[in-house]
Amino acid sequence: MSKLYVFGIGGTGARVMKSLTFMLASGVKLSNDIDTVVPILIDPDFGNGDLTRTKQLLDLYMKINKKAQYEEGLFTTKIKTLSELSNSAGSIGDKFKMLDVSGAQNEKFREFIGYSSLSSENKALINLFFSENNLNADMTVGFKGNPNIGSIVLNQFKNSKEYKVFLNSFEPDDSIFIVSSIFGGTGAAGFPLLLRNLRKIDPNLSNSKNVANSKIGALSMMPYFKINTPTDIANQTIDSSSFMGKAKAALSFYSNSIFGNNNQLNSFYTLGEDVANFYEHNDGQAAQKNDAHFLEFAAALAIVDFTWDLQNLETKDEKAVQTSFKEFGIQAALKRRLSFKTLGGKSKKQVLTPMSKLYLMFLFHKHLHQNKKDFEKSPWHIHLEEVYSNDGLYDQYLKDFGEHFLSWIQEMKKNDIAFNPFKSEVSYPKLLNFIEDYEVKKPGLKFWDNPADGDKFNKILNSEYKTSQKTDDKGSDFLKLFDRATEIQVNSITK
Amino acid sequence: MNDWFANRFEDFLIYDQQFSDYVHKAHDYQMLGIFLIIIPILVFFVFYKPIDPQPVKLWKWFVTFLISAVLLFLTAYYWLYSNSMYNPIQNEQMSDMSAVSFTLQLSFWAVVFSIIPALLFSWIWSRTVSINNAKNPF
Repeated sequence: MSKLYVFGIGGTGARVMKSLTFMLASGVKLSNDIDTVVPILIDPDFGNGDLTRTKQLLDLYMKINKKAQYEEGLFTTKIKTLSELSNSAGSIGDKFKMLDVSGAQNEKFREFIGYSSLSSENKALINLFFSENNLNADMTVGFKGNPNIGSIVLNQFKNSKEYKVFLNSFEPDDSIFIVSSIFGGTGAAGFPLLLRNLRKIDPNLSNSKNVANSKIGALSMMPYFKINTPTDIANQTIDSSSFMGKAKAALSFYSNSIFGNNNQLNSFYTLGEDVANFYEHNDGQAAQKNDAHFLEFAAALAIVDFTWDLQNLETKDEKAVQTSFKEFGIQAALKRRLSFKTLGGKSKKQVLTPMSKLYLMFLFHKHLHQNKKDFEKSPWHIHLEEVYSNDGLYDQYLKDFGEHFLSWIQEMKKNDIAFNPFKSEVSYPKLLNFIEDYEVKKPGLKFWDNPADGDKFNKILNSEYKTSQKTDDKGSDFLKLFDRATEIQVNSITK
Repeated sequence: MNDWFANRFEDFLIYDQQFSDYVHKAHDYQMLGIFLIIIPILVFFVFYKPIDPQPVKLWKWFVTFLISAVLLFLTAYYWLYSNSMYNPIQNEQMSDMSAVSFTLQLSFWAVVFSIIPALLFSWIWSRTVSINNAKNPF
């Protein structure tokens, strides 16, 4: 078995990682050879809201994953931190994060490069590349759409402890995927830098040869949102009208430095969209909490696709033998409101059942918490009641994870393009009609029967509980039961 | 079996020798015994297997017991009342009580005795055939 290291650079990287986490939680399958994902988030904006949410989510996932004692299904793919892989938890600071831009924190770019101590000739050279605003930029909040700053600061990451731990933990069959945006600051700057370092054999860094000869995929997000102009135009630090120009410039740079003769990538995925949605203008930090977008979901699918493609990819002498270029498509190209049925056949097959399983689990619990008394005498509930106690699996971890998941779905529904895989408000008597465009089939003769009633699912839970092997680990029994019951239920709806 | 059930009923009845003899001769004590076992078996089977109601509630089990009790009472009463050996005396005041009140007494005690098979078969059906009510009422 091997590992997949996923580098998420900047805010987009963090949001795609969030989508991937939900996919893994739902049981979307990576290639059979990969059983562990190691997320590595690179973002100098320590307080970035998107990053914080993703880190919380990954933390919850890891705790839940420990209870998933079955081969396939909900929460089975392992997610590990670098510190877990290296057994050097003490020496690495923040979980999942790489990049100790120690010099960049609480500092202006001018101070970071030691502008005042430069000779007048060097100052003149610097002035050619960086505007006055660039030089005075506060780097605590990232690079605010300025890749020219990012490329200088991010180049430090190769000196970080985390990067060394990453190299040491890397094994020959492991692979790497990099997610970044091409139109911002951190992602656009970080991606080519990271890739260059990954493909370079550094005799001072052990194991760098394995990394340099590994299979590497990457995804670059083209502009897929715009930023509102702030009311006080003087405070505008990010101008989304420049996104497309920056994207073009970056692509032009990539065509020579990454592709062409260099061939640094085995697979390259691009995603983009006619921009119609606007996010609030903010500099970063806690306020940067953009709503989830369908393209981030599609980006996570690209990572899944990469793992299934690994056997066809080849690397020789620190170069990809051939780069595979891929774009994402949907079946209903002109629609701006998507559901599972409008995805392409392959994507639908990959996500319909798993995502529906996870959604059903949390939707059912929403009703369970509203009407606890209706469930407390159900056999499965009596056996597993302790998972709902304060220190039980559900109340400690799954409840929060579920809230993140349901709001992630809601955010994708609100966005443009809207991804609307599940119906918004579903009453308990209609619970099983929760998948958009899918209705539970009505029974022929039993005209009095309501096949969409939530009690039908509760019955499956009871029935599966009856035949399941019970253990003392209630958390583990709970996950196994819901994995099987939701699978049976969703298959009966979507067949 | 007729004697065994007769002894059980007679332990609790306000006893009347003549009525009791008629019931005994017609083997109706045995029939009452069979009813008070069979009816809870069937009623609770229907409750635990085809209906198996949700949400699981204790009051639903009590309603089922009530249905079983009413069915048993009516069956017992009808059976005893329509017994041909019982007919000649049904309107006679033979002792302190009428045939009807003796019949009512027997039907009532049949219902009381049916609590035992009701509980026993609730336990058996809940543990074997039921999916949702496997823990109702125990």
